Amino acid sequence: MHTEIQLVEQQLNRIILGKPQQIRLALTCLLAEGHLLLEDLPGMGKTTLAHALAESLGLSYRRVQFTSDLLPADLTGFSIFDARSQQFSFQPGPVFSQVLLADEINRASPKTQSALLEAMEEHQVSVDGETRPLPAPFFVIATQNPLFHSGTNALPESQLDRFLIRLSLGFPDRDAELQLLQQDCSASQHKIVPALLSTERLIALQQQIPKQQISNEVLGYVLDLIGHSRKRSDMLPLSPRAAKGLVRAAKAYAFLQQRSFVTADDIQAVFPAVAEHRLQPRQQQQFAGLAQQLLLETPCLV
Amino acid sequence: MLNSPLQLRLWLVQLALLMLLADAFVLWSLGIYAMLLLAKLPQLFSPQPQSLRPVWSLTLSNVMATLIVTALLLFNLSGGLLHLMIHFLLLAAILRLLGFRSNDLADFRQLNWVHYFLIACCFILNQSLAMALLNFALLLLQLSCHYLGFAASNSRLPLNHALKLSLWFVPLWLGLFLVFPRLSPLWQLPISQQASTGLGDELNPGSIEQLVESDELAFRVEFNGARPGAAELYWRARIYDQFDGRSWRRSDRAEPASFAGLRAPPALTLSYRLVAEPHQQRHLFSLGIPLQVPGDLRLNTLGLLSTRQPLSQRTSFSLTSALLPLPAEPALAQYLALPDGNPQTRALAAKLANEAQSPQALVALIGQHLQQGYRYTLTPPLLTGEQIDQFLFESQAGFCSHYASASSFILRAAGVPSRIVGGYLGGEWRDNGSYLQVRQRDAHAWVEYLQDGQWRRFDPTLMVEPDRLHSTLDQLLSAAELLRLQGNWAQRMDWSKRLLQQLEDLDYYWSRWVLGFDTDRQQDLLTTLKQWLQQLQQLDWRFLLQLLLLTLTLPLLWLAFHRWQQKRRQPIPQWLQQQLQPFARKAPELTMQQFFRQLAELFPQAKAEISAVDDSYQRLMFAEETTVLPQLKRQTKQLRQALRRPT
Repeated sequence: MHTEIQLVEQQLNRIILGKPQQIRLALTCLLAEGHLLLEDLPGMGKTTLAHALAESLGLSYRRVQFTSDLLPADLTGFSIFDARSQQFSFQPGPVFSQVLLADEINRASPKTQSALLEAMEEHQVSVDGETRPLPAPFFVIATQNPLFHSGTNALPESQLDRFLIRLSLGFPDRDAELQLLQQDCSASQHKIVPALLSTERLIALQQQIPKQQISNEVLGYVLDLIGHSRKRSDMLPLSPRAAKGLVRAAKAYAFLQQRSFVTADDIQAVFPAVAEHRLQPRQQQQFAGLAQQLLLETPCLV
Repeated sequence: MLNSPLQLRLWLVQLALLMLLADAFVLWSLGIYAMLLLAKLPQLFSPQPQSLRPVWSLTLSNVMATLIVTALLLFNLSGGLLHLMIHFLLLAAILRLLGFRSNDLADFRQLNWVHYFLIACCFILNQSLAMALLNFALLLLQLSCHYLGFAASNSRLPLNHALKLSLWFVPLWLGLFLVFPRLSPLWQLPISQQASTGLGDELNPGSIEQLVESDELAFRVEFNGARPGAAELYWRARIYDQFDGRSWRRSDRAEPASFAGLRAPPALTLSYRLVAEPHQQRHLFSLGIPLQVPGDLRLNTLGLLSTRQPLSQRTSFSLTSALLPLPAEPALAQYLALPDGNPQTRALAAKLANEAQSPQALVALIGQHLQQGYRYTLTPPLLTGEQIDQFLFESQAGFCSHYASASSFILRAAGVPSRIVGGYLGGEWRDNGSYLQVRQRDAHAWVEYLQDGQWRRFDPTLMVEPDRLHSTLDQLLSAAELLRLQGNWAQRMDWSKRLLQQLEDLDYYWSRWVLGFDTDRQQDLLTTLKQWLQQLQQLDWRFLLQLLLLTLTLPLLWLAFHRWQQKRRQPIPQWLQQQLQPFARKAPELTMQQFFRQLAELFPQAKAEISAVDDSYQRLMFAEETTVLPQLKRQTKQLRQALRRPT
């Protein structure tokens, strides 16, 4: 049915070894037109994933290392005066790419962060009083380091909410790591990843996602989950935006499995990735697995 | 499935069966069977699951079976066919369990049904209330085995549900008990050759004393209407008419007879219901002349009742008796026959016969004679030689059989036809006099003599010990004699005695109302019901019936409609869960599809059916193709069948 997206998934699985579920969720995020937050230690393959994702889908890719002195203009671009043409000409920043990897997003100042987050939500940037639209598929992969917080500005809840899915790749298992080490010896450092999809095709696929069928019973389950989070005092309540995101992500997830309808299993599969960072923004260890708790406590009727 | 908890239960069932059927066993066979059961024991409690392989190979089982069957045929053939069959069945069951292959459902199936049959066999041997309760408990245990053996491995018995269901069945069960026709058995049970109890074919001096030592129940009687006085409670069971100088025997010359034409004044008529304990003999017990007897009993000219087959089960009979002297049969010569010997007694008889004008007067004279220096004792000195002479003129001490024997001898020697009646005197009124309980220790012997063409009763024992009529034996006996008896009569603490008495009462009513519920009683019940209906007929019973039907039907209809509505509104997932509930239960947080995957892991044999149901379920619930519903229902049915299949 949508063989090209299957091929993309297979190709990504050949590059990032032993992480099929994370890859599927990352693709889900992309198809659902959401942004991805990767939380991992350095060297876990965040960049590789972002890169491979962009290349496979034939998207332009930029990477920005966020630091505390990064200014909003460094991101969005700025106008410079061209002496020859006697005009200001706009130099687009890295945000004008289809896939933007924002490395260590929590190191940047709140001002820079909010500039990026505005771009993410509005799909446009305002520079020098002029609003410029961003390229059509616009996909931000932000990363942050979950362990080292000194000198960082944690993303506020409202801004975390802008990321559809938060993922953590985690360590590969032993077999995958062995394979990884073997490949390191034989292949060159940077693999050439062929583009399997055109931008137009990707947009067409993205437009199919909202048309996925979801029955009232499944929506009832979503409402049960959301409602349950609002009754609890030890977590933040899930917003309607979270609910919408959950449904959209579940639809994309079903789409990836070649189904035209959403099952309760899809909801359960995407729920932790969609909800966890919204439930516990402070990332304290004792709150780990709140989404899983919700899933366990909410009876599923379908 | 056929795992160790099941095997343990099966083993327990067999152990209980061996205990309940112990009456059918002799000591050595009981020992062998117990050993066979013990052979299984170490395996049942060993922690390794792989030890659930057969304890014995098939060959060894077969060899053992052959050996034991041969031994049974050689040494226990006298036990009777029924007991032999019980031996064989239980042997087969025990050996099957020893060779139990835990993966073979066929093994279990056989064992299961044989167990049910053996449980039913327990009832042939004993029908008391206690046995019924034990049997019921055993049946429950066997039912749980049945469930464990056939149910899916991870399913739990829905106990609440089962209880509720059994409550529903109680009225049905009671109704069936009341109206189900009591068929007479299509076959006759093989007669067990158990030792008979009670009065035998021969009356020796001493045979009654032996009987009196037993505290065992003989029979119980409930009177309809007035209770007879103590002087009338002479329960006739046997007649001894042939004397050989030592013991009295019974001749088999009695013809069948009927006394139904006899006209008796109502004051002298008694109707009663008798519950006889099994004594493996044919004779029954009755008062006076039995007038109306059930069809399956025989009555002879001696006025004695007998059954067609030896009494091997507790049985109850409805009887009517007239307290009148029995008319004499035409041939009387046998009642005068005497062996030679006992000259002193003959001289006494001649002397008394001279003095007396009539048999009645002679009897009075004998009574007077016995009142002079004779002693009533349970331990008379041993008689040798001329027994009657020795008793009357030397020892002058004896029990009822001695007095009856001597009196009858004197009467015959004096030319008066006489015979000895063996039976029971009196009994104990139980439960505020609602029924009479007669034990073996109430055994008694007395004399009947002929006067004016009628047999009259003469109890010589009363001449010696007039209190015998009104008091129980223990009040009459000396302390030493009592002590001898008490070993057997089981002297008990007061409270335990009371408890025992109450249990006996309970057991009596069990026999009376449950075991004794025969065709006659059923007829009675139906007649009563009919009469009651006829009374109703005088009212406008049609209208009443319609009203009754309407009031019964309307709530039922409403209930049915309600349930149908509920069922219609029941969401598909709930319905599906309910269908699969006997096999597995969905945890609330699982989605139905996760539940299906779980089910597929538990029941690998039903994988195809599960995936079919899963597929239809997705199409119905998520793709909202409502037309799939009939297909889903059909597939669910198939799935249920597949889940029941053994792996």
